[in-house]
Amino acid sequence: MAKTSSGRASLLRESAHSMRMPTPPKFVANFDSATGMLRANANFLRHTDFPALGSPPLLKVPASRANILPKKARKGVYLFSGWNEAIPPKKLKKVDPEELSGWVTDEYPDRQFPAVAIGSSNGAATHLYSALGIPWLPQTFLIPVRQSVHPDEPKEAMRIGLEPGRKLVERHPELALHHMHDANQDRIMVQTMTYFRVKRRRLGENYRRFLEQHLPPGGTIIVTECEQKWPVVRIGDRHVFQHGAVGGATKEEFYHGSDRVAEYLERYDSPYRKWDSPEADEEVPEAEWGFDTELLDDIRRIARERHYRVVRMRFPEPQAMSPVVADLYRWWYRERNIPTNRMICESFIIMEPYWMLRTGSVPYWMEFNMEASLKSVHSYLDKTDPFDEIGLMLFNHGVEAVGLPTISEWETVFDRATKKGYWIGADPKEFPMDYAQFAKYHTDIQKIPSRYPMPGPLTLGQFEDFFHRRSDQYDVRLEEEKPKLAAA
Amino acid sequence: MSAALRREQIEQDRVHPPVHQGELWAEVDGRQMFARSWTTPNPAPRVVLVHGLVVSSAYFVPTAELLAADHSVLAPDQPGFGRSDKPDRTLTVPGLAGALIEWFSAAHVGRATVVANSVGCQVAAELAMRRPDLVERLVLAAPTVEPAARTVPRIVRRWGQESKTQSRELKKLLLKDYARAGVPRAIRTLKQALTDPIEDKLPYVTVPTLVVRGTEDPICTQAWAEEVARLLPNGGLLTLPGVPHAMNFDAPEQFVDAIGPFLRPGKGR
Amino acid sequence: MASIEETTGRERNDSLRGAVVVVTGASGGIGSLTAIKLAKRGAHVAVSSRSEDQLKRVAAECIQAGGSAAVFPADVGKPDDVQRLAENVVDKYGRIDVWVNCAATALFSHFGEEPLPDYRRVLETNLFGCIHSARACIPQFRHQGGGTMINVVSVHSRLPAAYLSSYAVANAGIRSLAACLRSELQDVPEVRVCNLTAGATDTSLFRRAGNYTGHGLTTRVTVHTPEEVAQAIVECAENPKDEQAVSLPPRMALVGGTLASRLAERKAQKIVRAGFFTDRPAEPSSGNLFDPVTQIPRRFDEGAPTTGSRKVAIAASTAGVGILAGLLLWSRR
Repeated sequence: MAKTSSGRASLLRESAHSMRMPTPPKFVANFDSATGMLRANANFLRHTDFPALGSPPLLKVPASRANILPKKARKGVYLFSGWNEAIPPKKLKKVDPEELSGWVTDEYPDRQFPAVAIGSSNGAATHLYSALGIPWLPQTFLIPVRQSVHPDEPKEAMRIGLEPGRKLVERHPELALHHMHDANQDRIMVQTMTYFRVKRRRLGENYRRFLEQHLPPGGTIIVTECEQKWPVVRIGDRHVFQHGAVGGATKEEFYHGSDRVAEYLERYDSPYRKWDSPEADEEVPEAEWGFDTELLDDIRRIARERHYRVVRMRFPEPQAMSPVVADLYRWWYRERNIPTNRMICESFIIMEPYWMLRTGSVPYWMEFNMEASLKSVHSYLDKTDPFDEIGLMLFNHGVEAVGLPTISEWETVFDRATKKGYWIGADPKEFPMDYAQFAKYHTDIQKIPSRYPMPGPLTLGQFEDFFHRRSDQYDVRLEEEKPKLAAA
Repeated sequence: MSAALRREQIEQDRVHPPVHQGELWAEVDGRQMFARSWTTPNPAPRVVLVHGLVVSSAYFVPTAELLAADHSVLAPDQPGFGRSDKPDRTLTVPGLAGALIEWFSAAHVGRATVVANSVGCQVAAELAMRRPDLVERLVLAAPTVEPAARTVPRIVRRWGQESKTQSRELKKLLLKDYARAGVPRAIRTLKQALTDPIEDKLPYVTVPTLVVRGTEDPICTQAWAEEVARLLPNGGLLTLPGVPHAMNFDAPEQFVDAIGPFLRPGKGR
Repeated sequence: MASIEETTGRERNDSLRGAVVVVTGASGGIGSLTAIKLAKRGAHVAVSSRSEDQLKRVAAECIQAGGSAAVFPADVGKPDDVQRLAENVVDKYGRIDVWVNCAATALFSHFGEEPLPDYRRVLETNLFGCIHSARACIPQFRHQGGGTMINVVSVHSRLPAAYLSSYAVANAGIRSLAACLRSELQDVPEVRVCNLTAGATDTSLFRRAGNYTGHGLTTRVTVHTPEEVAQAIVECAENPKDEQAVSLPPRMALVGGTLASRLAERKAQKIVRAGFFTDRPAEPSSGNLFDPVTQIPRRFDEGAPTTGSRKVAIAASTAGVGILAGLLLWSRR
């Protein structure tokens, strides 16, 4: 079982452990939804927790000191670490989807599972996987590509990405490329890099092999299908450009501007007052969160051959999973006679499946740290029994973006608690540049005194029963596919 | 040769046509797979022999020769073993089954009776589960790996006991095959076999299956053989007295005699 | 006129020929084998459990083995059932010579996460089962001037068992009950109350246990076969001893548990997890606590290496006791 991370001896122990851990390929972003959530899940299944977003523990100490730097220098640090992650366009030929899926499967422990989840990144779903004790194989990954473009010139960003993007999809017919540019939330990052989000349309050899080795016949594949869509420019058969992303500014605002956008651009000393956006052609699965249903073909094929059940877990947008998972945990704690009545809100990849269960806390995952997230927390609290305690963790992306609530707006969440509300690992006055949060969330959550034993997993049957008894309350559908006859 | 003798020879040839051991090469996944083949001039039902851990089709030869009287027999070397090309990665049991499925198509095998020995039973079970259309009937001779023996020390101990039941010729043949496959591949394949849950597949193997176990087999116990037969929806069990684990080499007549009626239901021998 | 000895009907040379023996939990692994062994020795065996069908099978095997047996269904958790059982046996056979308490159930859970009725049920069946039995057979023994009650207890009567406290608490209670009864029965030395301590045995007790841990269960380590325990019971019936262990490992475990109780507490979680938990999830279940469940087919990944674990148990216990004895001696200086 994981120990608390204080003390040099335990730091060294953790280092030794993580040095043995497989490292992801250089072309994939480390601090992204897919890699972050994958690591949180894999760590949990290996019975450890998720310090510093999965990065090696020796880096944790400097990260927690980051707030000592003045704000401008801090921005430089964040920027630099982002740039370090990005690969130059000519290195795109090193992108190897099988190397990536090989790393994913290596992260998981070597045992049999009753089910395996495949598909969209989703923080609430990650807590579901921990409850069920199952692995998740991501469909989407972020390849950050070095690029020098003014953040407010999306057309230019699109143009620069055309050639490298075209080459990438040509070399890899199993991938779909969603080239993304978000000058709102990602303002800092897009100054030096552009986001190539790739979605697998085929399982590929490594994912297939993982299923063959770890999911015995009769097991279940859960397909996590976020149906979030976004308007895009179609560039090729499997190549689209997406201006903007889910979060503060709306689709409308990205493509056609608004007062808020003008005010934001002025605040950041931009020569523009609205983004010169290319015109969108159609709506497709959103780059970061959306599920590309092409992958279902391969999933159905292996399910037929190996007698797997396929259950499609479908929801309209990333937040939609959060209420059902929060309620599931609440129900589960009640079944186990646990008296603690605490909710902890997580943000993006600031999450901790292990300590949630150890402290007996109900996880409410927020897709990011914007208005929509705040609204969804309040809306959930409106519909559910009150919590005695509410804890809050926020991702810090360094930008006072359009649609970013202020700290006092966030603190209205604490008013909903009947006993107390508190920040976890945060220094609210530094928000949104509180980079120390990346390390401190993990030590702070352990300061919560409650401790419960790690439970055995929930069975899939228990989850499905729980869900079907209440399905009309949620914006989520669980659909079991009827097996087709085997190929003749 | 006198006319009488010649008539007798023709009669012999008609009843027992001369068997031809040939070679068959086929490309699977960009690599060459080798198979021994016994074809008869008359059309005959097909049998595919699936070998066990790290060995090759070589140890199936005595069984193949006996079966070849009435069947067209193919004995492939699975990828990484015998004379077949070695894939970079050691294949898992499902991976080996997948390769065999591709080989069925590349070698134009069509539908066949599959006869497997030892770890080959795990591969064959996966194959029959995935593609019942390719498998007419299945024989699992000395199926592995019994759950009580699924750690390296335990299986090695049983293997040690089993090697005492092997003939000297078999030992020589096996050593040659192990050397060809190489130690790293052998160890990795063993580990794959130990973690492969055959009991979860058997309920989905719907084709008629005969489990065969020799009483001198320490690797496959009587209780395990009975369990395997019980898990199969369409399974039966034959126990052969005095017969060892590698019955296809060291007791081929008894083995082929025993499975004869199952291979040709409705026809007397 | 028949002498008093002659009317008792049992050969007074301590053999079991003609003895009337009640076996509760006779559907289980240990109980059924005990009944058959007793029948082979010529005893009249009264087999009892909740499941009449199973009892009939056991009785039939007893008779086939050349002995005599009869079926008396009862739930030892219900005092009226046990009273009636005793009365029926006396009606049929005229007396009771030996009463063997084999009836037991178990429950796995993180303490407090199980429904309270399930926890209570383990105590009712195991501990109160013995109490009800003692209330039924001790007066009969006093009336007869003699008789033996044998409790089959687990090493967990003294060793802590993480996630299995209801079972351990019941067993500890049974051990204490026997000692207290012995104190009160000093005036009738022919009435014996014996504890026979056994280590983990290869039966379906734990496979039918209630389970609220979420983990699928298996039994990886066993120290005895049911035959060994049944044999020890039969020998105790013939030749009663107050406190007995089936073999060396449980005896070592009891000693070790007393001398190194803190160590035992610290290691208990790991030991129980390693011995019972699998990676498979399992639905919450009350097992056979409230309904006698028909035999669950053994999953084939539940190989129980009896011989190996016996050696390990002996080695570990001996080493442990040796070290502790050494420490104790050293600390005295």
